[in-house]
Amino acid sequence: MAIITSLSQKDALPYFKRMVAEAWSDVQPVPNFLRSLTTPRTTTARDVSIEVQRSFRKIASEVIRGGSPNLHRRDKSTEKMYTPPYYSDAAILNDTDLYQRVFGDGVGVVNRNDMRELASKILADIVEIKRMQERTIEKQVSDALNTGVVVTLDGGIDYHRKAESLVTNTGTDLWTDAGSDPLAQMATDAGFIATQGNSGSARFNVIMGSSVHDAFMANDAVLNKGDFRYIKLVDLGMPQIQANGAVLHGVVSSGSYQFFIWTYPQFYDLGSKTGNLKDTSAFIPEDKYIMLSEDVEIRNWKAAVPSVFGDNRPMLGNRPVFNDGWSVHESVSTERQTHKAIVRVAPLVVPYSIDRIVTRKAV
Amino acid sequence: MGQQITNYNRAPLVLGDVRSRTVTLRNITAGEVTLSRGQVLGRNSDGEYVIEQSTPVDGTQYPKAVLSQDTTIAASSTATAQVFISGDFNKDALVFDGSDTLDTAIDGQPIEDWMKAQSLFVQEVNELTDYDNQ
Repeated sequence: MAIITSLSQKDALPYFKRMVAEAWSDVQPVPNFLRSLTTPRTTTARDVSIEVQRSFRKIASEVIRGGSPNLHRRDKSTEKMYTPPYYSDAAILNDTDLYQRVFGDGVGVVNRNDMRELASKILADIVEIKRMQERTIEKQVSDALNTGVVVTLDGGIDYHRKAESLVTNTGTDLWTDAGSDPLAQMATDAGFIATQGNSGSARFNVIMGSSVHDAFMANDAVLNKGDFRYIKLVDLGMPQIQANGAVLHGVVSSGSYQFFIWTYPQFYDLGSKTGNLKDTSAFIPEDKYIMLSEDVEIRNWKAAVPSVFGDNRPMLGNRPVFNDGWSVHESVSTERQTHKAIVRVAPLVVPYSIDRIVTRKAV
Repeated sequence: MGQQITNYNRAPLVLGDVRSRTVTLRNITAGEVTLSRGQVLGRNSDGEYVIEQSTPVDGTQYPKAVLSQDTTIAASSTATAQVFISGDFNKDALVFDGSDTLDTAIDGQPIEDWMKAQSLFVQEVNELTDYDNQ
């Protein structure tokens, strides 16, 4: 065992000559700007089942006095049932871990308590595993906004975005082209959301990829509009960094609509490397922007995680702890001398008002 | 795929008072058929109800009733079913044979007029909702 109760001179040497003075890890909180656009929901069922009824905005037709009324009904709806992807990740320790140094243990201290350090290690592992799963949910929102298909193992969950809401610019429409007018294109997309998405909002959030934002800020049509002397239709200023990882650049108008310009310079790691550089992917693709009306409805569902309840006796399997759709439980085997902490969640981001989102590949 | 999409249309067939009757349906084809609720029916010389078609000239071309529930009939045989012999019906819930519609002419008059003569009144219902994207 590595618990040291007394030190020989030889044992003591590393502590006095090579003691770790401080430990630092670059773990970051998970940005949640995209999730902030959603409303959290939990269900105790395996599947997420929702019912959607789309409406028209018709006007009444005149009838002859004394005649029969026009008949109206609200009979159509669509039920959608989704099986969310399931994530189960575990941190594991075994008895031989006591022979190893734990990251950051015994900093500035000679009398180490290895058991205590291991306990905090597994706690830190659980936190990091949950962060990994949170990033996955952030990626789900990104998928829904970017392509309308949340990537899963069995082919993906397709929310059937209309083709008109997934626009690819070509030729002179590209924002890098001198003849392009980004503001006019934004007004067109807002018009789609207003007419097809039944949105009542005149205010839209536009989340731009990095290249799109660069092209936007360099575009003549935008600059000319910003140059108006006495009519203020553009209010772009110093980027305002938000705690959720997004950056607000200001407001522009086009037609009758107001657009809040955002970027979201946040990434996730792909787990591979090119040379000594990590391969990463942006949550918002650099060549696209995503427009959402203020009244967009997106739910962040967490479905049931199957669980077997233990008998509460220490070291024989504790009850899982549930919180906001997450389940955390321990599995301790005294025979195998292993200790697992398992974090599980079955999340699915579901856009309800699917036609209140437009994605445009602008550059 | 971890998803399943089902559309529902709860539009009713009957809009007002109806009179119904239990009758015999005949399948004149050599295969089993399933008639849907709302199928417009004619009547043959034996008093049996058959699918109303605009082309025959044996009397079965005239609409006489509307089927009240889905009914399966074995090949060249009969089944008992309840039909509506008068009432107000939702235009979109009526089922016609082949390419026939309310406007298809029989003896120079549209089927709708023949139905009116039988007190089978057809009304238009304005649907205010729609299905979600699929």
